[in-house]
Amino acid sequence: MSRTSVWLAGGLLVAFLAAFLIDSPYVAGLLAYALVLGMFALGLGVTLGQMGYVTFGHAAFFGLGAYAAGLMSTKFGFNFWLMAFLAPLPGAALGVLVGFAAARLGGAYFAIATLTTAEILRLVAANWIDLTRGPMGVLVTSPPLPWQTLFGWGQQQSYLFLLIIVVTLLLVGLRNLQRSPLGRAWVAVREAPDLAESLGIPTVRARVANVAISGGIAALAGALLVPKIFVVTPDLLGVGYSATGLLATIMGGKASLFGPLLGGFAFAVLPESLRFVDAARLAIFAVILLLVVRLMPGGIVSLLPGFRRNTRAPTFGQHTLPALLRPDLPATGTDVLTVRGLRKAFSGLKATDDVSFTVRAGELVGLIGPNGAGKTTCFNLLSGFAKPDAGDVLCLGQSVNGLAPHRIADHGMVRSFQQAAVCPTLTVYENALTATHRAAREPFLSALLRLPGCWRREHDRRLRAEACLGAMGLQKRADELASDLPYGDQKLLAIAMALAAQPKILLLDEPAAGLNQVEAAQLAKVLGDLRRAGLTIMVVDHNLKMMMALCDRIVVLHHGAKIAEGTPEAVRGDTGVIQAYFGAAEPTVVTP
Amino acid sequence: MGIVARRSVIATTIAALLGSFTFGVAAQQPPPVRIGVLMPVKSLVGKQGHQGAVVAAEMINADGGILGGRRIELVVYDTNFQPAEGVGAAQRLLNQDKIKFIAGEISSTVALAVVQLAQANGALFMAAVPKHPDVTASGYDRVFRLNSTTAMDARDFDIVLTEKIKPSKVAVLAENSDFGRLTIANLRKLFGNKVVAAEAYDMTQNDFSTLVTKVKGSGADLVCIAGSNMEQYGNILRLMQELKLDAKRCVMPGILNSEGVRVAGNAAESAFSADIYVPSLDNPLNKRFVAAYQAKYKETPEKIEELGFESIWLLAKAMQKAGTADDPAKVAKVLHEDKWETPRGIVTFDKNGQAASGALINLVVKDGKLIPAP
Amino acid sequence: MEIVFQQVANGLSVGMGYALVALGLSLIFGVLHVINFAHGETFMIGGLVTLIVTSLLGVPYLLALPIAGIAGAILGLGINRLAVQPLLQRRDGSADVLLATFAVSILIHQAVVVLWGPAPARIDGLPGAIEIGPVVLTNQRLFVLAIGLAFLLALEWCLKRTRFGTELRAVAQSQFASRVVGIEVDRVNLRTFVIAAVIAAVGGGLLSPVILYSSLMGQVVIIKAFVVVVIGGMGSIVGAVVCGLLIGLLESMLGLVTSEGTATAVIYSLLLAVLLVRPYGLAGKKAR
Repeated sequence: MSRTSVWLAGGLLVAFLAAFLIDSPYVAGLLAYALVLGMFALGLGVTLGQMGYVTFGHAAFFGLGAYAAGLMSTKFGFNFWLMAFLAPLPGAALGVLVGFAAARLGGAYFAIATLTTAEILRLVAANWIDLTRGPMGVLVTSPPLPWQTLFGWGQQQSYLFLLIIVVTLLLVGLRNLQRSPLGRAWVAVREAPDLAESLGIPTVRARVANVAISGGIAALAGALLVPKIFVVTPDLLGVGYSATGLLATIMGGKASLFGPLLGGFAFAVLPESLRFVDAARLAIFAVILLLVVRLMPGGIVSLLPGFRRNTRAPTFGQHTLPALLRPDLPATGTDVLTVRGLRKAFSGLKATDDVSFTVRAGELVGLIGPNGAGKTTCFNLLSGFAKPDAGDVLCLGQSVNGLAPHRIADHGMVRSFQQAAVCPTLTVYENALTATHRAAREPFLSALLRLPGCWRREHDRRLRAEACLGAMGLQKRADELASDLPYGDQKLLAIAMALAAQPKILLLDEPAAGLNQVEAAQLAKVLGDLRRAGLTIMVVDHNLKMMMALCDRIVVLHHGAKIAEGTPEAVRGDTGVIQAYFGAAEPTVVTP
Repeated sequence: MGIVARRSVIATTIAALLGSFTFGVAAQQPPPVRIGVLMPVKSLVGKQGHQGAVVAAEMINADGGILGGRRIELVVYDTNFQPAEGVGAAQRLLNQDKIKFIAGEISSTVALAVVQLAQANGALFMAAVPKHPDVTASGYDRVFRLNSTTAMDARDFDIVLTEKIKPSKVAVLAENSDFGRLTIANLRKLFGNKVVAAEAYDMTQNDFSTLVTKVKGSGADLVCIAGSNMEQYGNILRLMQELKLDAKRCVMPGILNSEGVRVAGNAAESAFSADIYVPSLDNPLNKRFVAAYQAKYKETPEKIEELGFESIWLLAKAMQKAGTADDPAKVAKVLHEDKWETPRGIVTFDKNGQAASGALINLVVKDGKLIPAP
Repeated sequence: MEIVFQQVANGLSVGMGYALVALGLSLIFGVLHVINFAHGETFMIGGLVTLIVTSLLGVPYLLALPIAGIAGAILGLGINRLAVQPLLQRRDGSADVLLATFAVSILIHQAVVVLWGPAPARIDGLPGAIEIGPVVLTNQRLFVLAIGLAFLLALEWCLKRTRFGTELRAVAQSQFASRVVGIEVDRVNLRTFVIAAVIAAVGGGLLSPVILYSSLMGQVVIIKAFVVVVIGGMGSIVGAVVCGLLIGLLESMLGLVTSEGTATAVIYSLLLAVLLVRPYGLAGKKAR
């Protein structure tokens, strides 16, 4: 039996047990309220915990769901429960809009954008009297649920039953997404957005999907709160609920799925169960909150054993490099990368000045030049991180000029970064797995329900991640956190990740910088092996000794312009190159 | 989950308040009659309503309780103006504390939610202050409401405005709530195109300079304020003084109290209003209530305090008359059928449970004091 | 036409109110990179202290303001000690500070409601008003404007001309580098926090005669202050004041043609549009 069905069966069992055993409507109602707040926090946690975007206005979704379900059932007479389960639709639609804001705004700016969105909706709800009856609110009555009479439960018990089922489904669905390319894309956006783009992860789409899912869940939670409170008021869109959701998520622990759920429970149950000290209950709640923050970084969930489970790396088999590379590599000799008249200026300074060159399949081409020659700018132009002022970039005959980086990665051109770019809080293996995003497209439904096709593709992705780590000699460190690796290993990991994205041509920006001699030798060997296996590679590096030994051809930049191109021998003898490096004709110095 | 379902109610126990008075005979006492009280006790109005309720319970217990010496015990829960909290508190009263009689509340929104729960549980709900007409529109015969509705106020007050004040141009400043909106609609109906400005303000707004400037620009000679937050109407009155807006100032019935007059300071001078109760009413029960309240809280009770008092007082008297403290149906029937003596005079209930007493009492601010108009 | 001039005067004085709260919030964010949720309650405490010393102790209003400032400083010290300083070094420091200061804000509010009571109250500020033609501006509102501008100038001078200001700007740039060059970062943080709290508390004292003291006054003002801070550019002192005044003006102008609720909704929509076009605020620069 799969994990998913075990979870579902467990949830169903708990739901039945709870509905049969909890005979007090008060306790059942309170638990239901806790689950609603937990669900709200769970939704918020998708954006806050998984993707690392702080939101101050999640009540926008929460209240929208409540109003949508409430108004549809009171104004148009639809069945309330049916409408409640359609409430995620407007929530997700609003999430798409807010998600686009997330693509442009970061940090506190995104937080304020969500806050103002919620405030706008609250003001609309408070002032559009004809529709919402303003601050007075809409009185919504919900019909009995079908299983209420079936099992002879009370109203609160059957409501609790429904909520346990819904929360179980959400947990299972989110857990599945977390373990899919989409979920890993969210984490990559949180940890290193540029890296994610370079590996072919469409980060804008991932952000939009994230906020849409988060908003949909929050809207469902809002709709399901209505049977508890009977009256839908603009307060549901207010800062109070936004703060409750945000703080519950942080208090419970945003890093996991259970954390927000626990936080929601705490925010519902603590103030209510402290009613026996009515006068001081909010103050006591605040003290508990403060103690939790001071004493439990990571939230309540950190008290549970093994709450942070990294995906463990499997045991590694033998892997050969050729098996790593895609079968459809272009035939040796075809033009893989063609650059024509590329220009880019930053406020008058010509960083790239009419550069043209061609890289053919199977070649290992070096790009060198003194500091400030425009090598990295050139790479940024090729990989889509900067837009050229003029000129064209062709990958396998197709123009990729002006495309987003992830689209260029789709064309087969994948780059690495000068500074080791990895996701620091993930393990080495998880990093590699994240980088396999492009390897096999995962349809959303397949990932959500973990259909058989998803199993198969996930298996492929795991094999691929293993193989790439194996190729870089990182098997032994697979379960370590990437941030714990020595710098040299981090750079190797970055290359492993670039490989995992299945490039046809690999652009490496200073792969040897910061490596010691042993590591540099290992790197040179790997690059040589890759080229022999048929991969096309372009390298920027300062280690001229290594470049001369390794490269088939070298392109030399100086002040943004190409000053030489040819075999290592030819370039070494070029007086223009020598002048650029040393300001005088001293050819002997660069002899390897 | 670690919910401790605490059945023991540690709330406002009147025995403790009475102290030595009942001490020593506790062992032989019959079980107390417990009444649930919902109030946003952390707010000023909630506190006032709660204190009124406490005084009622104390007075009844001092008279020897009801139903053969049973004391009244109040179980008070905070509702914090939030439906979610109000429902939680009401559910706790109904299911945990097994209480079938609930009194109190200020907010109409919370009251609407509580009506639903009361109906589902067959309980009796005596709403004290909520003003919205829908509170008594559920058709459930065990819901009562003591405060007057805006429409009831208008019946008496419209005459004051049209006959005595006779404005030529009217401006209305109303909070954005049903109360405010209804007031605007009523005044428009009453004065037609004499209403030259009608502005709604948010209930969290704290600067009214724009509104008052607009009203000043409209040239109105009567300004009606319809907002229950005293810091808001106090502020509006002060701004009218600051900006030298020279018009008659009317605070719509049921919202002006001496705390509000204090907040507004001399800006409230000669503003007028009306209400269903003033502490100076001359009847024995009122004198006793005012004296007891002043003795306990060192303040003079007003409308909210009186309604809090009345909610408990009437429930206790009705239980006594119905001969039961366990059957909401019987108590409700008695409440509907009889006439009831309260500090504000004789109160009766219509078939929806709406209370009615005598005519509104006109009020005016003179020398910083809120007094009945001459 | 005179109504427009009156509204300009109103809008500026309202806007200075937003600015006074936003100023400290922005300062704290700029230097400590955290959001202080309890900042609104500090504002409220400033109003409460002014109320207590003027009405109960009979202290003249102008003398009450420095006392409110001292109370703000003490409160700031306490909040910093309890909910900010110990959490700053954590990996998720900013989220934890948000949560902790939120808890503190509940505590402060509950303490005030329980110990002092929930009743709103009037504070008599400076008497009198000046009239320019039909436009009336009370002396108290003028005073708010003047003190607000004085705070702005003093802060700017302090940031640009004093050693502390230099250290503060260094810490705002990089805590790590500041430590390396021997700046006592914790002390700079503490001072920043206290200065922000003093401004908020004095702001509470200044505005409570205008908007009346209420235990809720902090919660009401903080949302707008957040917006002002972000649009003005996080950490930008001038931005906070200019943006506060701008929003105040815009609000009062829109208030002439539509209801206040709609005006606020329009302003928020404008802000959202501004953010999407200029993702780092009006005055902010892209920085990481």
